[in-house]
Amino acid sequence: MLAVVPIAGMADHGDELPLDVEEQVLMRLVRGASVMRDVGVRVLLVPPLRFVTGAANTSAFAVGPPLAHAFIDEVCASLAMAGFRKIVLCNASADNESLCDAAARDIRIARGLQLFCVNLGALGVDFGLENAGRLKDALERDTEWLSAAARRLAALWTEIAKRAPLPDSGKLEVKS
Amino acid sequence: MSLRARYLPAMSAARIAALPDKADAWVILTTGAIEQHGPHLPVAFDSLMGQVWCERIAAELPADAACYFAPPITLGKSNEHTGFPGTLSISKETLRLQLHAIARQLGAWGFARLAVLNTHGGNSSVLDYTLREIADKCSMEIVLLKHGARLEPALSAQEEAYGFHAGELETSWLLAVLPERVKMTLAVCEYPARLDDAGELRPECAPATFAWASQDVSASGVMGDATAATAEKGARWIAQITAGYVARILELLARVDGVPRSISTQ
Repeated sequence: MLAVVPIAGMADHGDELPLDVEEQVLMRLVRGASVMRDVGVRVLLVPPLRFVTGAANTSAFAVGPPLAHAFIDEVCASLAMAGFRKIVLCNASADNESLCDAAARDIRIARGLQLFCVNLGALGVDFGLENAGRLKDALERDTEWLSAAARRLAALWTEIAKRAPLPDSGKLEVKS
Repeated sequence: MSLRARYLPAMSAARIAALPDKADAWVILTTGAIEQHGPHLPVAFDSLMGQVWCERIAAELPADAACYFAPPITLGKSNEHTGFPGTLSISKETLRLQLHAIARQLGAWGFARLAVLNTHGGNSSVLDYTLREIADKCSMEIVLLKHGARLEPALSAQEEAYGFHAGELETSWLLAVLPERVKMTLAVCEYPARLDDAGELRPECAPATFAWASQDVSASGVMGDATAATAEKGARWIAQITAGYVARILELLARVDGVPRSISTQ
């Protein structure tokens, strides 16, 4: 079973969109992907982690990297205590991508868990100002582009679920 | 001009205080690592290459270019190589705080522009968010210096995508500059992924990535084809990349607040 951790920031996306548009779109996507019949994967969806490590003048409630790292690490530690070994960070914010990447690596190494990252940007979900109309549309009704992104996300989860577990519970061997 | 002549710690405090071009100058900071580089390369490889790039850049910059060098960050975030002997690693937070300390000192001296030349992939994510943070908090202009050079001869598509550690490129560089430190008899070819693998899950640069430690994806510690390396290719690539870095620095020097200005290229 996969544990999926949605991560979304709050930021100024123009006059037409709410500050939390990333979370709104992300949650529609992950919920959509999780109910697709052909996913073949059982998914535990964690409530969204709301933070952004972006610039103070364009982001809202921005936090520093240490807090963001602690947040992700502690949630993953809790999931590990509940028995999860595969955790997917589904991140909506472009400003969080590098932080999620660093967090995932450190958690894999320090806790022996299998961490995966999926950024919405890679699924064709772009929160740029030029896409405000498209995003507004997706918040109000079902749209084909969001459904397509959900199908792609579901396929990625299936691939992640099939990946072999780490040997020796992820413990790193000391080589001579 | 030599690297030493532009290296800030080689100057007295009074000399730094008296530098006339600090407001417009770019300070270059290299971030490297001491970590396993397979059985055939020295563990200091990334930091050694930082030194090589600085020496080559300093030699090719025009004498009047307002460009200085900060003391390098020699130990990087290398915990992905945990378990392999020879790796010295600092945490993401230590790396972040080091970057903040260096930026703070440069700012106190009157510099306002910092270019980071990173030679270790494991530092990249931390650099990305920390440099954004510093730029936001310190009103400093900051860039991650990229050479942008098109390599000739080109790497294969497979090597370009997954030859990212101790492979053909890095081994060729060191064969060109420090051949006595390369043990080609121990060089191997080992890839962490193949371009034609099924699916979209990859270690890097993919819609879905998996967090990896080196031993998850490589038994030898090599990620790439070290056996294809030659000194001749290394010398050509180093010249092309140095030219790319120098061109980028001159381009940066030629702008003030985003407005291009002329600069001598003699």
